[in-house]
Amino acid sequence: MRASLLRLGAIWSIGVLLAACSAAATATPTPAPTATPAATATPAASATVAASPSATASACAAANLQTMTPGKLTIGTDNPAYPPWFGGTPPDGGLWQVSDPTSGDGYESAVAYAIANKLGFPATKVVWVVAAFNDVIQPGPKKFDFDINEVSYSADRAQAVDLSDGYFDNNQAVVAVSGSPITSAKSVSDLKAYRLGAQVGTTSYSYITDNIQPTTAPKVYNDSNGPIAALKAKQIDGIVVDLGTAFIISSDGEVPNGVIVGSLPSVGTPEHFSVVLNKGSALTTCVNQAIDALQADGTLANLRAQWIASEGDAPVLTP
Amino acid sequence: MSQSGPSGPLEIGLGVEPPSLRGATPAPAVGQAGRRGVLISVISVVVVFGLLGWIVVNSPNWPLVRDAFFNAKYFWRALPYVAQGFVVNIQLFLISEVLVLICGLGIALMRTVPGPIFLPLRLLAVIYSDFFRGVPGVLFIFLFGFGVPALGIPGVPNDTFVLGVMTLVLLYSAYVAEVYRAGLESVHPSQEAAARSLGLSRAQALRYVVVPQAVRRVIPPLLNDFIGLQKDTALVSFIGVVEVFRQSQIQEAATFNFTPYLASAALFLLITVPLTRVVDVLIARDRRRLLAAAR
Repeated sequence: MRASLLRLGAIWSIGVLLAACSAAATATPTPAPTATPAATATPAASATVAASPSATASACAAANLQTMTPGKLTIGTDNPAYPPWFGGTPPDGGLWQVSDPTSGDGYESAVAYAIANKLGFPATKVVWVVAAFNDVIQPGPKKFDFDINEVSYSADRAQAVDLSDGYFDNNQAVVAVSGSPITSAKSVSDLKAYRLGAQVGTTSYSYITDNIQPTTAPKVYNDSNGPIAALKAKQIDGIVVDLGTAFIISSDGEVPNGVIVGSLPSVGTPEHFSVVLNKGSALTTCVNQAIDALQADGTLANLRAQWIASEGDAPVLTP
Repeated sequence: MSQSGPSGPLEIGLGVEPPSLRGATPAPAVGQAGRRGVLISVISVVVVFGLLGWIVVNSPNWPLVRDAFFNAKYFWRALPYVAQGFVVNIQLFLISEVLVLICGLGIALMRTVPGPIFLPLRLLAVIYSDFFRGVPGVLFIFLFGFGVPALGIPGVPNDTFVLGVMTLVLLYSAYVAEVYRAGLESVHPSQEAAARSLGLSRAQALRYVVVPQAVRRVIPPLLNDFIGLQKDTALVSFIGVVEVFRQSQIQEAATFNFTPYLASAALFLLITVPLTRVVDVLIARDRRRLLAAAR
């Protein structure tokens, strides 16, 4: 824990230094963004519009956005970044493990660049920083303009940070080892008898305690690797995790002989992923506009079809 | 190797106790000066602590700190859960401590076995304690908690509680072995020589003469390590056991308020502070007994 904090701190300071250096190098007047729709009409007026709190299109122009590093958009996610949310192959000896967020491959990387593009930041102006999940959802100043890391919306979290409109509708799912008794479960109540594990502070964990209510207290881990290690060690019978992640860990060998027992029915309001911003961030309305636009023009649906493979193949457990 | 200095046979060592120690025993009667001393102490404590409290409470960010860390509502809400988690920690450290005291003594004795033929034994003990004292505990928790059972070797336990106890015992036996060793070495060689001359075997000499004296001398540092062990039971949370730290983290994650951590800190203090005072009493009693013997 301490070691990982230290490493995070070091990585973060390197990132900030790099960002600061590159910002200093390009400190010439920012060129007018080309990708901003409808905002190009009156560039002179945009300065006065930006002062008003209401988010008009020009207030959301890149030049008027108060980002951490002027002229750059700093996006956070956890490291390692996993498929299907992130893809690409990170360069050897680089910062990122497993996947490379800067690649634009993977659903969340693609969505992040699409949002950045809507805000007027071309891919070259996007800076990625490492942000651990537990830090992201806590109150307090953040080291990114926004974070994209499979963070589900919840009312509690929305009190601590700004959560954008949903960019992905999510279900929870159970992953187990093929042939183990839990795989015969057909309903949520069938899962009660088994030992389940999840990451701390996640909606997956809440789903276990709120809806499954197993007879054995669930095991809880610091990160997403803990439940996988525990499943391999046969310390738990099943992992509760986001469905998108469940597809990957059950099929790419992370869980040997992994299988999806089933996706879990949503209880109450359906769960969706939100981008995380500082509480009261000036960017929130602009990010929401961008996500709504991506939703409206079908970009999100296309990216989902492209990156979240074989969706719908998992059996659905009855409540 | 004999230690130089006043640590010889009990009776001789006591003769050179500095006389100032006698003043440490309570004065026979509290006189005028004594009563004034008490009064001054009380006033001084009240003034200093009051001032510190006043500064804290009146600092501009105090309400922020109070709401985030000392929120009564969240404290009472979290306490039942956190206390439930603490029961696991108590089980962990009680079971581990018993095993640690046994294993640690074994390793310490291994290290003091004389004779050239037993060099491998002594080396093993040295390597063991160097290794387990030199590597962070959290590393071993992952190694033993996830790594070992994942091998699937039959007979290897995979219960996280058992694995947690195993790791804590391995870690803390190394520390405790060093404490025991210091104790064993502080017992003057003439003690063992005298015991052997009375016809006791080496094992008997250790059992009846050396070890009892050694253990008595190292009770305070042993209890110190016991306190360390109590705190390190939180390491076991890393392999999925929901104990006090994890339970407070769950509570904190639900509310984003840090008071649950304070609640678990309070539970730890509830155990460690009285234990520390017990150590103080033990030391004081031992000293009184020694002084009485010296008279």
